[in-house]
Amino acid sequence: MNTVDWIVLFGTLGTIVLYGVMKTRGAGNMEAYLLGSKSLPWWTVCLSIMATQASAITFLSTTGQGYEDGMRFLQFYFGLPLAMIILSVTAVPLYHKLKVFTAYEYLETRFDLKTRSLAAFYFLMLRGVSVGITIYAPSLILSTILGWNINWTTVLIGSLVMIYVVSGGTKAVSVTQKYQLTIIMTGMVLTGLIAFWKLPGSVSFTDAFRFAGETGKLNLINLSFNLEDRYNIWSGLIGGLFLFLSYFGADQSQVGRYLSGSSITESRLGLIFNGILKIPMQFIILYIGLMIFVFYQFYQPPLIHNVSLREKVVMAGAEAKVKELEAQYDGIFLERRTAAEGLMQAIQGKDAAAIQTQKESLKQAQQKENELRNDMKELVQKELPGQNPMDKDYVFIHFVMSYLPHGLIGLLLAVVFSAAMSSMASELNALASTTTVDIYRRSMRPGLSDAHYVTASRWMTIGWCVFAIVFASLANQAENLIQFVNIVGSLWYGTILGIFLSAFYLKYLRSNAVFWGAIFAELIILYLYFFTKVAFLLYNIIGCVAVIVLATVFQFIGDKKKRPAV
Amino acid sequence: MSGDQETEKPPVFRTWAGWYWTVLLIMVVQLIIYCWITFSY
Repeated sequence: MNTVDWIVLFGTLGTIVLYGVMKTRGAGNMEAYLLGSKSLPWWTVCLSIMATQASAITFLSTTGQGYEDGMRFLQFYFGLPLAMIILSVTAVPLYHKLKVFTAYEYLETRFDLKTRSLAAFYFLMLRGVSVGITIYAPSLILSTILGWNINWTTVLIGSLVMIYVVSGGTKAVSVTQKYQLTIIMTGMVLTGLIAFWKLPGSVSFTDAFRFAGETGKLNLINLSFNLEDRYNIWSGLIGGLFLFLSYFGADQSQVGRYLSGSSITESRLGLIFNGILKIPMQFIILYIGLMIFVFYQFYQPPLIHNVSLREKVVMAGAEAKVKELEAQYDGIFLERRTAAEGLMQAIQGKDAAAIQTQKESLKQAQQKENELRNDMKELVQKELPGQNPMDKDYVFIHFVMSYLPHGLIGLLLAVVFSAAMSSMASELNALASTTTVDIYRRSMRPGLSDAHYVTASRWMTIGWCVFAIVFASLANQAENLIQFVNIVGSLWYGTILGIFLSAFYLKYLRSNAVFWGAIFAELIILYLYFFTKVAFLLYNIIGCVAVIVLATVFQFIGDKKKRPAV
Repeated sequence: MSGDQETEKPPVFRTWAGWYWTVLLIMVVQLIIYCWITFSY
């Protein structure tokens, strides 16, 4: 990092915050503050939806996923376009027609107050925890890379977001996200191009593509039906459909985005273009990880991508052991590079027999290297108990810091900060909207002026932001936090989706049946969590089905009781 | 007279069904391309 990088980084972030504040000042009523006066065109809605979904960890982790595991993660998104169509047909016209501020408001129209409050409560539990991780995860990586204190990093990100979200509400979230996503994609594509340009001169784009294919990284489609395999086309289409219906149809952080569209048409087009663009965007991000993988076939990567851990192990007194491992690593890398060069030549010469031979050599060298990396990780665990030695999320950012020219390093750090800020902004806005509209205005202080509720929303935003920062600083003490947050998410998402699917599609279900169905479904999920070993990703589908089945049973029993005896 | 005239069909993007079919078509084309990449490279 030099002065140019710092100027680019803080110049970009400062401009975004200033733009957000200046462009959206003076939102005086609820519709202006929580729905952006319903004035946004479809492209802003679309970019805002995409920026909300893509958090900083998406960019850091997905490129690492492409680097280590190839392209198969793409299948996770295959259900998304289908979900966009279903929601465009059903949810969008309904929410617009009822002029709701939040998705949960609709539940009172369809069922009653208690079902609305229950769904809002489930959402606040789910999103309240995850906003903490949205800020914690990138702060951990950025503070490690920049050598900053993690608590001050979370305070910096949180404060920047708070300034424009408190000031301009939903509109500020959406208009800044438009530019944040533009910066993010520009930075990402530039990084991919630089990784490619830095390859040896004789390697063309097609050669790099074929090389990735021969090393098994272009594993985009897996047709086998296997419940234990997280990424195959079936889990992507079916599981992904459920997940994205839930996320885009019942999660206020997304519903709030398309409710700010100026008409049903603008909201629908926003969702439709998200359905068209999302998979290619993920393809590009994964492919950048793949380009970094090809690059590191010819240039030596560090033994552990989170290089700060190396320094800490040395400081802990294991310098001799680290140097011994690195000396071995130098030798193994030369062996691997020779095999990689041989494979590339065989690909360029279209020599099938040589390709097979060189692939085998490369595989063996790769295996040796992996063993050595595992030795290094074990050393980290031994010398630094409590430190996570997994370094997949550091692959991309380490590449950026080591190989990008100055100026671009600053831009790429702005990319990571922007991604963290854009997701956090939507989440804070959604938490504030739901707390104000569904809890405070509906059940605690009804009938007050619009100005009062706008002020309340601003305070709720500040409150949730402080909560996120405090959660992130406490999270620092916890182990395996991302796993924990995923579990917490899965504990509530299925039940929320079940309530909404009942409301949208099962007209025979009434409020009491759905309310009690949702309560008992949540108890089932909590039982599964505490007393069984059922994989937590399945909670989404189990919770959803349990709400519908239980509500149907309760409805049937209720109807039978009401029927007069003959 | 109007019975003799052929009814003008709306362009695909003027109807929502047209948009939805377009999304599905793009999805199917992508799947075909991804299958081709997976099994050819």
